Order: sequence, then structure tokens, then C-alpha cells
Amino acid sequence: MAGPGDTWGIAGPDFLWLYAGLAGLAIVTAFVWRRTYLRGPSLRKAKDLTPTQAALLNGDRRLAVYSSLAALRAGGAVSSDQRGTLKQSGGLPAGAGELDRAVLDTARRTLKVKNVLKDRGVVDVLERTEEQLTLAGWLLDADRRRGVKMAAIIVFAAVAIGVARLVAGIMNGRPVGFLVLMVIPVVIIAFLFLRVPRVSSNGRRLLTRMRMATQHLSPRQSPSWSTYGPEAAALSIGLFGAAAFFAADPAFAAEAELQRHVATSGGGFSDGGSSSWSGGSDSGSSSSSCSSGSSCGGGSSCGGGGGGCGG
Amino acid sequence: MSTGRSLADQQRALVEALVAGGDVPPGFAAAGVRATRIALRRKRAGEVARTWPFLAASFGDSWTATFAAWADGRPPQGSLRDGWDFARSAGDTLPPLAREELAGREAAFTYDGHRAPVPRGRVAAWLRRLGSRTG
Amino acid sequence: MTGPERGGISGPAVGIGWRPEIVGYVAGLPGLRFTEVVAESVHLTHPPQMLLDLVERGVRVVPHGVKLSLGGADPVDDDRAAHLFRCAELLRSPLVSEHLAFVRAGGVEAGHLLPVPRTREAVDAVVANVRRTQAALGGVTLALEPIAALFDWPDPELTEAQFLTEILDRTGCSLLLDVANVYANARNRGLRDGDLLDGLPLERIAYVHVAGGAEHDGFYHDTHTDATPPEVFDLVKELCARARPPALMLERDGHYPPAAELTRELDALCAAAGVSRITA
Repeated sequence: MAGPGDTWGIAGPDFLWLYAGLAGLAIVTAFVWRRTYLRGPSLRKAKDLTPTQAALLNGDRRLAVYSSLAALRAGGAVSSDQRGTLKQSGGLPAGAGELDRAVLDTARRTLKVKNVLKDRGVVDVLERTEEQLTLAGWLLDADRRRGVKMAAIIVFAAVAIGVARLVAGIMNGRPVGFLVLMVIPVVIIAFLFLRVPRVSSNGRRLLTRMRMATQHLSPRQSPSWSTYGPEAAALSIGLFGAAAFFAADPAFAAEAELQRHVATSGGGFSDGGSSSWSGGSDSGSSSSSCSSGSSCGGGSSCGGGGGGCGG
Repeated sequence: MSTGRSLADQQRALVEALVAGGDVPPGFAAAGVRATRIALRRKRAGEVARTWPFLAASFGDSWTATFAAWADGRPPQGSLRDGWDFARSAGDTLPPLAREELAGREAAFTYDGHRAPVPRGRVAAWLRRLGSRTG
Repeated sequence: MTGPERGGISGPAVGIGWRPEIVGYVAGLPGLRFTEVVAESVHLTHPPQMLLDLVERGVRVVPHGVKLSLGGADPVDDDRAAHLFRCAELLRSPLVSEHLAFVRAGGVEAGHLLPVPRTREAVDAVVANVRRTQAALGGVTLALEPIAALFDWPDPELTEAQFLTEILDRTGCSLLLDVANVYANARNRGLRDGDLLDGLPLERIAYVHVAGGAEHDGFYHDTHTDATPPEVFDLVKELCARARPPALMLERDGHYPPAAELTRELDALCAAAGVSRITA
């Protein structure tokens, strides 16, 4: 079947089929390889994360600081002035974590929120917590990241073969159009496989599992931090993102100049467009559920009805 | 002292006295009606604060008094419209977070001030948001 | 949990109002057997999953309407009545409740529950609206709640007890007795002592509300955002000595306090009603 002048002695259409199979095999192998390295520790045996840990997995160090601020706010331990400077207004709430203590300490020294992230005590706790998470495997360590990237090599090998055939084909003066069309997606996939997330797959699943168990803390419910307590407030930020802070304590969030778009709110959290966004990250609603204006339109008594005169 | 008015008329007179700046109808204890008027505006302020949290937060402790003053004589239209009308009337004096909240809603709904806000289509809303940020 | 009885909530159950802000607390109450949700806050197209979970658990949920305006001269809106019915269907409730009050007149919303004049004309209007609502409810029992108000209409033709009894007799509705309202009205009229429960049709009680309030501008306001005063718990004790209300509920609508305080109030309610704590 190979005709005279065929590149490498394989007919064009035959090679395309062969290449499709080869590339397909490479991609599947790489995918499985990636998944193994990305997985992370066993979900079944996993205990729930602390609010600080959840924040570090869901977002970043900033979100972890915010979650501590939430605990301190709910416990009446900090306040902020108009210029975003923290002040201590009460003692450490019961059940406070290490990071909460470190952040309260910065409030005692009246730091601005943006400088809290640079404080030695705070950075120390954050680093140690990140190390714990990495050791446990929730965050991917350097070795695993390398392992994940190696999967990409398999796909790049397939790319190389395709490119070699392309070059040979061009030098032979054979048509290469279809081959180009086939190689392009493989190249794209190879580059996509170079991307390594920060968090292991089971880490993300653990966050989802925790969110499902704490739906009452979702910003959609406008949870009452004073009822649930400081640890729950911290968890609501850790699991549902900074937007939850703006929903629960907008005055402080605004004064302290918190960044709203830190981390996702965990999905399924559409809002009626009451907040603008930058960077396209999934920001949560900054208002309660009555943004649809329909049934709540006529005097909105959602949760406020009943008996006599409202105070 | 029957005034010969129907129940409907009497109820309307009372509602107008409470929310639309009308006079206290004859026979009613003025103190009670006035106290109800005030409590009503306070309740409305609380409801608007729930629907427009940044708007309310930007006034801090003076939110209830400020909103109640604006709402005096204006019948309630529901917390979404009340807050919207109030925010529009406040104009540029609003701090950035409140302005952003208003802008977000302006982008997501068409509201002419007279009828219930109508949600825009998603593409239209996105385009408007883009426009309001660059414009 | 319950028998085929219609119209009430079986057993002396104690509960607390279901509000999104404290859902976690409500769901976590070990002895919770019933709760109440504001009907207008239930979006039938995407109802709150956590509320449905409670229904699954066997907790009785009563939809509580606030916007039907049964006491208004204008006929009750069919859509609102239908919504109330659909809530009852969705939440498998044998009972719904609304207020003996009006919230709008001549197209203007008051945004609040206003008292109805105690005249025969008003009784007829209320009965007509209730019957219209009952038609939409198709057999689900309706409980009516008399409200607290800071003023009275001039020239009443009936006493409060007569007004209430006549309406309940003519419509067959049950009574949602808000003890905090009884207290608030008495206090604002200057009647602190004496039999505040006199003449009320206690045997028709479907359930009882208890709530807190605060004094300002010279009046006691039934705010639902403050702690329940001891006098209200005393009234509950008196009520339970005279009648056996099927259920009692703490109503809290805002400024939610720490869980420990809600627990204290619920425990006090259980103690006043002579039942064991639902918080443990």
C-alpha cells in the first residue's frame, strides 16, 4: 500500500490513522498518570480541615488571614477605623486557633490589614500550616508537581513525532494539511498538561464535602455569625471565600479594605449581578437572596414578617 | 362617631397617614399612629439594609435615621425598589462600595423608577457592566 | 409522630421559627418537632434544601403568611392564597397561618401588619377573605393570629374577644395565639394586671407564638428582635395551666443572639409550657 515517494514509507492517510491512535494513547496515558499524582490523600479517612487549613486550600494566605479576622470579628475582638487600621476591642475568643492569635496580636499593634500578611508572627503560622498541608498531601509538594509535569512529556513526545512527520512531509513535497490540523490539538493538550494546580484533587473534594456539610454557613443564608460563633465564622470564610465576609459584615469588610475576589465561593452561587468583578473569578453575591425582585418585591418581608412592629 | 365612610376608605386613610404623609384620621390616638409611622420606617430601613448591605453599611450608624428621613411620605415599594430609589437620589455622594453595588444592579436590571425592575439578558448585562467600568 | 388528626400539630411540641440566618441552629435542635417558615420567603421553584431536609426528618413545618391582608376591605389576591396552598403542599403541612390584619389599602402598601376595626362590617370583610383563602387551601386548616398594635380604631362595636370569637366561629379557623402580642397590647393600654387571657377561645388554639420586644418612644414594640420578657413566659405558664396548646414557638426575626442565648430562651419556654427541653 505504500506508494513510491511516501514519507517514511507510510501512506498519508494511513499515517493519520496511526497518529490519531498514537496521540490518543499518549493523551490517555498522560491523563491517567496525572490523575495518580494529583489525587492526594484518602478522602474517606480524612478528618475535616480547620478553618485556616480550609482557607489555604480554597484560596491563599490572604483568605486565611480573612478567616481569622472573621473569627475575631464574630468574637468582638477586633474593629477597624475608617482608614483600615485594625484595633483590638476584646479578648481572644474561645476556641481560637493559632492564626487567630497571631492576627489579634497584630491588631494590638494596630497594623493595617494589608500589612498583617507581612507580619512575622502571622507568616510563621501560615508557613507552618502550609507545610502541614503539604506533608499530608492536600497541597502538592515539589516532587509531585514534577511528577505531574512529566505526564506532559508523553504528550510532547507524540507532538514531536507529529512535527517530525510534518517536516519530512514538507521536504518531500507532500500535502500536510490534515496532519497540521491533527497536531494542533495535541500541542494544546500538551501545554495544558504542563499546568499543575496548587491543590490535590482530593483536597478540592474535601472542601466540597465540607461545604455540603455546612450549607448553613453559605453566604446565601446570610448566616448569623453571632449565633454560630467565631469558629463557624472563620469556616464560612475559609470554605465560601472572601465574598462571604462582605455579606456578613459589610461595614468592617469595607473599612478594612478586604479584597473581595479571593477564592471561589464553592460553586452554585449565582448572584443577580449585584457585584461587579475583575479577573473573572467566581465572586459570590454581596446581597441577600432578594435580588430577583419578584416575590420579594412587594414589601420584602423575607424573614422579617410576623407579629407586630419591627424595631 | 360614624363617618359613613366604607371600610375601604377608612383603611386607605389610615395607610396614607402612616406611609404617604397623610393626616391622622379623626378618632385615632395621634401618639400611637405617629409611633407606628416611625416603627414602620425603621422596619423598612432594616429590610432595605438586608437587600442593599453596602448601601446601608456606608452610612454606618446613621443609616436608619437617614433612610427614614428620605422615606418619610414615600409609600414602600419593596426593599429592592426603595433602596434603589434612595441610592439613585444619593447620587455621587455614595462611597465606592455602595456605588459598585448600585452599578451592579443597574447593569443587571432595567429600572425606570416606576415599575418593578426587569432583569436584563445575560449578554446585555455583561455588556453594560463592561461599559460602566470603562465609561 | 402523628395521627390522622387534621388541623393541629400533635403533642405539646416546642419549636423556633425557621430563618435562613440561623438554619444551622434550628436544624441542630435535638428535640425539634415543629417549625414555621414565612410563606412569602419560600420560592417554590427553588425551595431551600435545608427546609426540605427538616420535612424529610419528620419535623412539622407551618407556612406563615404575612402579606395576604385578610383584614383588608379589598378581596384577597388569588395568587397569594394559591402560593400559601402550594407551600403547604410542598412542605406537607396540615396547617397554615396568617394574621388578622391588613397590609394594604387602595393599592398602597403599608409594609406592616395593621389592626382591623372591630366592627360588623370588618367582620364580614374578614370572613369573606378567609373563606376565599380557605377555598384555595382545599382543606388545609388556617390558623389566624391577632396582632399587636400601638393604636386602636375609634368606636369599636365588639370587644377583642368577641371580634376574634365571631370570626373563628363563622370560618371554622383555628387560633394562633401570640402571647407576646397579648402582652404588648395590654402593656400599651396600661393594663398590666388582670386576666389578659379572658374571653379568648383558648380551646381553638393551634399553636402559640412567643417573642421579645423593646420599649421606646413611650410604647412597647413587639419587635421579634429582642429577648422574650419574663412576663410573657408567665403568661405562657398561665395559658398552659388553663388549656393544652398543641405547640408553642419562639419567634425571632433579626439581631440573632449567640446560640447559648437562644437555647436559654427555648429552655425557658419549655419550662413555662411544662415540657422537657428540646435543646438537649
